[in-house]
Amino acid sequence: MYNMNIFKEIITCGVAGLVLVAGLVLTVSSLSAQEIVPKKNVFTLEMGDSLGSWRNSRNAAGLSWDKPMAFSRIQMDYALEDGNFKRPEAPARSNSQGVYAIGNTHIKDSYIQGFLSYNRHKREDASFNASLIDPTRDMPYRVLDSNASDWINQHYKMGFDWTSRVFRDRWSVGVVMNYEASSGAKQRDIRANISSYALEISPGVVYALTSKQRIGAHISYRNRKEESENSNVNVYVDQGYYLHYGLGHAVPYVGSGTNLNYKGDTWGAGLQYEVEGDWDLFVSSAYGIGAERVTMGLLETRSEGLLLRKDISTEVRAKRITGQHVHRITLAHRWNRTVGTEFWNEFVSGLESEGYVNRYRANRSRYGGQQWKASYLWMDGTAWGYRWKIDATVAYEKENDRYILPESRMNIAHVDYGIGLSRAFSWSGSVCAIGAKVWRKQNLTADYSYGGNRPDEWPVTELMQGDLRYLGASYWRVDVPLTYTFALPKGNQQELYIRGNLFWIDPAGAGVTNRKGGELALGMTF
Amino acid sequence: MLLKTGVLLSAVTVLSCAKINTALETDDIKYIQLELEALPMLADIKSTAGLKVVLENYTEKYRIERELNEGTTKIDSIIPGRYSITISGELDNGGERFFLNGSLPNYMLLPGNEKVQVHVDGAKVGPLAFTEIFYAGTSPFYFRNQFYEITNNSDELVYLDGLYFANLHPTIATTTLPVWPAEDQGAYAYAQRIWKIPGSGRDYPIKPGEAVTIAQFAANHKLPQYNPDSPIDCSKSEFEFNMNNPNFPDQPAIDMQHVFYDGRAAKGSVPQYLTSVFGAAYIIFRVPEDETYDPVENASLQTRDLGTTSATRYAKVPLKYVVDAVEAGHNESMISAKRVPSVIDAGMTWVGATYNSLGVRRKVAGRRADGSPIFMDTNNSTVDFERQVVLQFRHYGQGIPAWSNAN
Repeated sequence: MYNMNIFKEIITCGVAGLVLVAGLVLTVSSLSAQEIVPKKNVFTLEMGDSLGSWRNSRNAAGLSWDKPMAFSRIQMDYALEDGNFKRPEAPARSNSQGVYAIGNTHIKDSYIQGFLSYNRHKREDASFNASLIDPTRDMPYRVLDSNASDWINQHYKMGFDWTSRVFRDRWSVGVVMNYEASSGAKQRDIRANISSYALEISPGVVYALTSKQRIGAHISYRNRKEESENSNVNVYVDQGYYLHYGLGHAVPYVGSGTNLNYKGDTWGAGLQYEVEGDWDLFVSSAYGIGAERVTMGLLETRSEGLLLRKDISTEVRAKRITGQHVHRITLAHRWNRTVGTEFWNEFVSGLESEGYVNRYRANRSRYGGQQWKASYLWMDGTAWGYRWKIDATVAYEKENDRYILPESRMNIAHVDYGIGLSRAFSWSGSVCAIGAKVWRKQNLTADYSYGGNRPDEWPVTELMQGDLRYLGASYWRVDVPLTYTFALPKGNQQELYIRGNLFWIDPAGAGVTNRKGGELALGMTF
Repeated sequence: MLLKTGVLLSAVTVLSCAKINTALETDDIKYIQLELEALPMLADIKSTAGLKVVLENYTEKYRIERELNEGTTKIDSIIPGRYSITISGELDNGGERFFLNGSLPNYMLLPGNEKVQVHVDGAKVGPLAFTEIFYAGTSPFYFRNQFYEITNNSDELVYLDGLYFANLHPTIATTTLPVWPAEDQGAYAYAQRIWKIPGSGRDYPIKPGEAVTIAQFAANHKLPQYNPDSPIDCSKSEFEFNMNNPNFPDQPAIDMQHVFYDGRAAKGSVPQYLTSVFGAAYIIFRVPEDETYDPVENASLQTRDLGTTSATRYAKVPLKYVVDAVEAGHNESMISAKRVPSVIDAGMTWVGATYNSLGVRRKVAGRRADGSPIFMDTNNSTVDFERQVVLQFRHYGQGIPAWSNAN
């Protein structure tokens, strides 16, 4: 209890501090924004995000080299989706409401941008999870129950990126800091009351080799914790549940669940190189290594699992602007490996000290994936955004997972490709864009073999087989985005916008029908 | 200030890297090889070759069965884990047949811990055995139909008079096990409540293959005022645990005599004798004629759980008194939470849910000449019991004692 109080106090102080910083950023930026940038709307902001180099890396020290437009933006949004083409743990239906605010400003020669967001997510009829706010976050150690339940999840995020002035025309330093806090509540026995936070800090440095070449480096540290507490409201009926260890290997229990505590630390480092020429080239690569320990209750000695994650991502972005034509080519590769360690603990009774003693631990599962991606973006730019935008992507992804003893395997591979087209019109200070995106996921491999002794139990027959059906399905996805923005009367650079998107996913031969949904956002840029 | 910040940052770095280092220093799991040696406790037995050894990992549902060799038996391709190791079987020693068994429950069979010795002794099968137990209750939340069936599994007439019945502490399977006095040296089971079958000594005889039941409440539970979905009518039970509850009044069945609860002979204020619907640990025991057993008056036969601050008193029951014991838990995963000493029950049985109207029933090992069943009794309720059975008194055709109201 004492630890939890400290924990809550730290969260409270952290939230208060970050709210203060982000609020300051938004206030200052809204006061000064009108003076700095003559024209801005959601389209120009979107273009800045697409074409920026450093802002798409984890190194904030180079942000000022991106020459970001000074802006502020607030938005309210509503989203819903429905359909049985989903991962088994995903809700049958869901809706969410959120608010989002982002802004930036220059304070003397330094630059800072910050954001705040809140989202309330109602998930309906979600199964096979009673211990994670996001059951699809690749955490095998979790409580499974088969009672489909509604969930109410809430997410708070805030953060800022700061970069210094350029020292001696060469050096700049910067820092990225993000904080997230979430809560999740499962509404049916076995109940789950879950809270989590994540704090990430990433300091970086950029050195200008010449007026057109820069190199950068950053390190990052992320600390996260997720604490789940199970209970039954109906204490007369105990529920069956499983503790899952990976690829369908799960141990059955009866009762009111348990408490699982997830604590993770991740360290990372990255390098960047930028050169300006006919084509502006930006190369970045980052390495991350982290571990997340799962304990039952708050007892360190009663570890259930430990995940070691390694991740290497590399990206090359080439950009060329000739007149009104904007081209961007992106090549990306990501490699990741995860090792799952299990623990064999024994309860030792005793008069002086009793409790769980770890007798043995061993790696029992290995997960590995690779992803290659290439995309091309072309825009016919104007002062108010773009007239035409074409975005084409092709990607290949594979995942090879293995539970070592008894051996089980899951292999997934697919190629994805798609194209999006958007046309924007401007009249009387208003801009309207309508578009369409078509996306194809073409499955290449999807197999799962289970070597354990519970092949007829639902963690295998429903959870894993259901996951295989989803992950191995080929499908078409169609999105229809629509954005309308208009300047406020007498408003100086103040524009209101409405943005919507409808999507439809049509899987072929997955034994399910579809997934569909939409979102609507109302916002203001200034 | 800088120094303090440096120290703090260093501490954070070291702590945050500890998990990563632990993960990096861990090897992949590998099969291990068990080297098992059975040590006979009977002087006449020189070799245990031919006995059957069963390794069971209940949580992961592995079962390995082998025959013992001469000396050390090696069993390979074992996945590390918590195993119950049971050795049993018959040996012919100079024309004399011996039934031997021994077990090692909840053994952590892990790398560096693969050499195991198990003592095997002559099997001591009690004359009486629990043959059917119903503890889970019936939906919705009806628990008054709990009962315990006891069968004479011997070849001799047995008198039930003075037979004790008790449930052990903890009342529900938990991995947080009690701490008992060290001086007891594992010689006792610890009862939460004890009852006794009344009688002057020869009032309640049961012949080989005959059975009686003791009901929590010996009524016809199928009646509308109780629970028509109840699987059993307990109005023909021979005995009941009468707790003097006017809402569930005394039935014609013979009342069990209350012996002990929390250090006293009084029943206490609980309105019924309810054992856990998850499954409890039950024993029947008999005190030798030349000994006295009075856990209420004899304070040395009482203790509290030294692992807690609770003042609740539990009665010590010498293991040598125990005639039969059965341990039941939520499901197979609770095997790690055994309460009953393995010398009287090396295993655990379960029905997997509460209020599902299902029970556990002892398996039949053979039949007497008159057709009455001989039940399996290897002192391992995981092996000896069928689980999740539909309840029925005297399911295997056990006889009804002449004095029973079930006639």
